[in-house]
Amino acid sequence: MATEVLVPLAGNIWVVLVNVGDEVEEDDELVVIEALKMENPVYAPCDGTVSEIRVKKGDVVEDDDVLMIIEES
Amino acid sequence: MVFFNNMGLLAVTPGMVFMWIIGLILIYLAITRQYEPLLLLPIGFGIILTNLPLSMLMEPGEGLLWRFYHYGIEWEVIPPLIFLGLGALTDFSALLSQPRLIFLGAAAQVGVYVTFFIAYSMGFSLQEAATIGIIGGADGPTTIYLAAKLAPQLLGATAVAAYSYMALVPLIMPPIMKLLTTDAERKIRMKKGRKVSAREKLYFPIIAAMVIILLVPASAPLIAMFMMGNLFRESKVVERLNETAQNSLMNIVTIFLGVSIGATMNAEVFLRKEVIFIFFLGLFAFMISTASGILLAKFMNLFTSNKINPLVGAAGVSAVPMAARVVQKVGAAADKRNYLLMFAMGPNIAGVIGTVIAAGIFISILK
Amino acid sequence: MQEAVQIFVNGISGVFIGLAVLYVVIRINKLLAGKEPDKKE
Repeated sequence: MATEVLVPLAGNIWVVLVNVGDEVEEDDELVVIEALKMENPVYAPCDGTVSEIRVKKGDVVEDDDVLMIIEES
Repeated sequence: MVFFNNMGLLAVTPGMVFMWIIGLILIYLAITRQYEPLLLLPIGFGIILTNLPLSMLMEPGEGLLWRFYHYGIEWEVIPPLIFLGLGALTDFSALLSQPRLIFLGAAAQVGVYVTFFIAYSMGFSLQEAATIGIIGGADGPTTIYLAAKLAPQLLGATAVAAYSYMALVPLIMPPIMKLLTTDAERKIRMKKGRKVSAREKLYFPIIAAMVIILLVPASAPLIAMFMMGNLFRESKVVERLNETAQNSLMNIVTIFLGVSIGATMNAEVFLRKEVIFIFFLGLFAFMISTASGILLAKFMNLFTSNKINPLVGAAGVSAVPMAARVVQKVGAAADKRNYLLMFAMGPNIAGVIGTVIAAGIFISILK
Repeated sequence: MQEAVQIFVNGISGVFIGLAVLYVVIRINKLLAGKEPDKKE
């Protein structure tokens, strides 16, 4: 089952920590979003494989944009 | 012999030496700990300068620093210009999408008035007590503005207290926040507000400026500049002015603000036991303001099903955006998937407006 | 002392009234601005 990882708070993508094809576990840090000079990690909602990444470093993101898609294992 | 008689060294007093040390400590904290370096560094240096005897730097009518102080602060030019920059830097979205959080910014002014009352009971005059109380609003330019109007002799002490405590927000606030909330409350995830349209953000500074100034005319200089800065930002057609207000102009006035505040702190004015009380009362004001924001959030939760995480109430003390960052950190410590930062910005900005209104009320009654 | 009490009461109620008015302003502002097409979609 594919799970969308959504943006929890608006800001800039500070760094993307995973690549397409990576295996991730629940609670792994996937992306760090910078907002108000603060780095906020976004965590994996489930175990699985990253199947698609829709953002890159420096992108401006809004609430509830899709960051990436994880194929649940 | 003329040279020796005019030499400053012989006129140095122990109090001046003590003030040099205070100046050096502020410079040290600014550099090594990065405590509000943009202000504490020039303040620290200003303190040293003003305590070098016979230099005439603060001599009314002729001293260089006196001119900065007189035309910048006494004439009330610099604090409003800082507010112009703050307005250009402020995104009102958080406030517009969750307007009920405004009241948390009002609650955080309770510390201002409680402290005002206590300071007055301790023997300070009404004007001095108001100036000390406003430290609890955690808003530097407003504190300076009010002090210059009501109690200029306290300006240095209250400004340094306000900026020091702002730098210490990450140490002062978390214990109070943890004490007053349960683990379950800290884990409350708030429902996201609606999206705010660009048109709404454009109308807001115009309407808000008119309404607030009609209501509390004494707050006009600060509110007027704040909302004009925000109009620069949201109009999207004066990017040059917006950029200048946020950066160059803000940096320029910060230089004069810092060194002028430092220059008011000469040994005779500063080394009095009242100053110690000011620091204690300022800290107390800060703590009460933090607590009252949290308590109002808990109280509002009794009446609504759309729960507020009480931690965001603590962000009602202005200190933008440090207080909001602390809320985010304390919230994430309880539940790492809880992102409170943007919710906390609402009360945070409301707190700025609340503090300006509080200052306006003091001025209209006491001036 | 009486004056201090008066300022205390006026001050706190003044701040709450001021921000309550701002609350109303935000509500009215929202109506005035109305709906506009979201550029993103």
